[in-house]
Amino acid sequence: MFKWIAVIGVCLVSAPAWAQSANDIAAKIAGRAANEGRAGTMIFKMINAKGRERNRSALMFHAQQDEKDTIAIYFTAPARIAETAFLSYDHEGDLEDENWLYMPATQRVRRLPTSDRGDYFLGTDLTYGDIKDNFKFKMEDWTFSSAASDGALLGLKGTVKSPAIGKDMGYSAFIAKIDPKTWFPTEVVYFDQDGEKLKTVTVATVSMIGGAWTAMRFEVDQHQSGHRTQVHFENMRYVPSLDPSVFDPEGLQDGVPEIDG
Amino acid sequence: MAVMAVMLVSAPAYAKVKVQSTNLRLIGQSAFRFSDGDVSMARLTALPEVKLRFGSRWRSQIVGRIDIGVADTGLGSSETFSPLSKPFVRDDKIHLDLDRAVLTWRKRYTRITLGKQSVAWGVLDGLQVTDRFDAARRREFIFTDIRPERLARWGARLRARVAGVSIDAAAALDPTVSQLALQGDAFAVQAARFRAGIPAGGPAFDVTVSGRGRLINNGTYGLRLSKTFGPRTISVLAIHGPDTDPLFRPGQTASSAELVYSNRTLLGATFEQAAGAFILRLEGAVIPDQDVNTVSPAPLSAVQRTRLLLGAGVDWRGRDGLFLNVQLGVDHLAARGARLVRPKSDVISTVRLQKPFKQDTWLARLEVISALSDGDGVVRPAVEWQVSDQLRLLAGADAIFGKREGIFGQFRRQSRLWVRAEFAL
Repeated sequence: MFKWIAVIGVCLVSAPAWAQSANDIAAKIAGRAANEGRAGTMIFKMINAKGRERNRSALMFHAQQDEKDTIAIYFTAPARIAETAFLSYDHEGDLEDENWLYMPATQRVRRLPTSDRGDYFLGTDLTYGDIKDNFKFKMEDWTFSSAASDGALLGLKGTVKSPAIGKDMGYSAFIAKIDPKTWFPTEVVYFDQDGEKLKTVTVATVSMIGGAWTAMRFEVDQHQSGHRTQVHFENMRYVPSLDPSVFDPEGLQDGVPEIDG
Repeated sequence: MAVMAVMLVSAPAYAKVKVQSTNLRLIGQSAFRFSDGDVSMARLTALPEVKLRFGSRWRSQIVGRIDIGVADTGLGSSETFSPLSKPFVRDDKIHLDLDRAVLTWRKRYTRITLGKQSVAWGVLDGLQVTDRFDAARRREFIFTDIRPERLARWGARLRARVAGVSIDAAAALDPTVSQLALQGDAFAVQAARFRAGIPAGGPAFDVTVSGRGRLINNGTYGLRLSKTFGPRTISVLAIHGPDTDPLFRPGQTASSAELVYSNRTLLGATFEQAAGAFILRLEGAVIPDQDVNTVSPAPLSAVQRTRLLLGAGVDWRGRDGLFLNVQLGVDHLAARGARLVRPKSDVISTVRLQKPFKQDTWLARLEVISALSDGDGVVRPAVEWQVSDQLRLLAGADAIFGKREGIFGQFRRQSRLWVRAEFAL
């Protein structure tokens, strides 16, 4: 009996350690270093359940400036969408995010209504939230718990803190494998709002770009539709002094800006 | 054009030329009239394009256009073009043209663009309140995929930013005006309000277009100042130049009329505000010197009156890409005792609903444009299928309703089913 009391005592002492451990892991992921600016060529391959492929390539610029995270994407191929450009300001705090789209056919830069984070980005299997979160799990969105580790990789589970957050993101939970050397997920399985397996994001390659770990090659498998999106970056480089004019909405109609670096 | 030529020669003199891209778009489209089942449009358009870079600051874009068309819809007038912009080849069935040819210098927020270009101002979608700098293709009236279908004109444009204010100054030294459908074509105007009060079945008369050769006097000049305050953007603008719509004046003979495009001045403002899933857009403009035809004993008479244009629109984005755009526009002329050939006020509404499917490979949309003041309009359902990265197929209808003298109803016999294939290399 005393043996069982001792076991229960150890468990009671250890349980908070597991919960802290999960939150610690999440905090380390969320606290991964960011860099002031980076640019590179982003290549998407979208494959439907029948194996039909669509390819996109774009020049991407990313910077964190003045309490906002900015992403500018200038599509270069295929010809049909060449010169189409998308710009996003992700403000910290209570300020609304802002998005713009330039389509050459209209010759106008158009401000877009803010999408739900769970809406899919331009036909890919990535949501707007996936793109903005950059392989981090926001502490305000998720309740974390430990998951089984896989060799050297740590396990992390998350469930949404409220149904409203789940509805906004399009997820109810995730299970991730985390590399403790980089605090980058190597695999994330997302579950939809009904708790069904929705998609798996597999990160094949990460590189250190300007002091920040950056996913260079990853794939999203949408289990429910059979659709896949493969993304890889080429010539990704650290550009610490990206000129603010690169992220000017009116500049979207002028095509890809030239940058130094 | 001389300055542009000098710049074009100078730029490569010290910068390496790089062909950034070459593209070719082919568009085949056809339409079948509801009323008799006839083919009302069959057109093939080729748009070859080349983009060049000269170093880090200079770039150039040249887009050609080859239109080959048969059937009633036609390829539109060429008399409304200036000598600078007339299609190189133009007959009933073929137009060969330069759609766009620009040389741009860019440094940070400053851009100078010379050449044949469009200037797309305004914030509303297809409802032209302040968006009146450009001439437009109206050979299919407004029943096109993109509205307006802009006509590029030769000129210069400077965009810069000073103290957070965006400055956009443009000069189109090219008196090209909006292209019209030829008399007898499917979308030649029928309503009396667009024919100086003369009904379509009335006495026939020859129509000529006033000369489009006076570059400076008949150029279009504009200045727009904009400032963004977080989620809102405000702009004020002024445009001076030929009206986009013609005035009928007596021609050389008793049975002829001349389309005249008087210079007018537009003063306007726009407002755009983002709020979550909504975008609110407002535009207002006043034209104090608008020439307009009147009904009077003297044929093809005209007066000058003040014209007020107002517009409001809302975008809403729902779940899974569902998108709704609703707009309302008012076009009011202060008649002040004159009997105008058009109503004092036109009220136009547009509603567009669209949703993508299957990872954005399919798009369904429905648009309804109505002249609430006349009770006429058009219902425009359409579906698009992105077959591959190169090929897109579209099909839809323009179901036009209303009375014969209405803005849209005048074309009700041209209600049609249409199909289009776009191939991009």
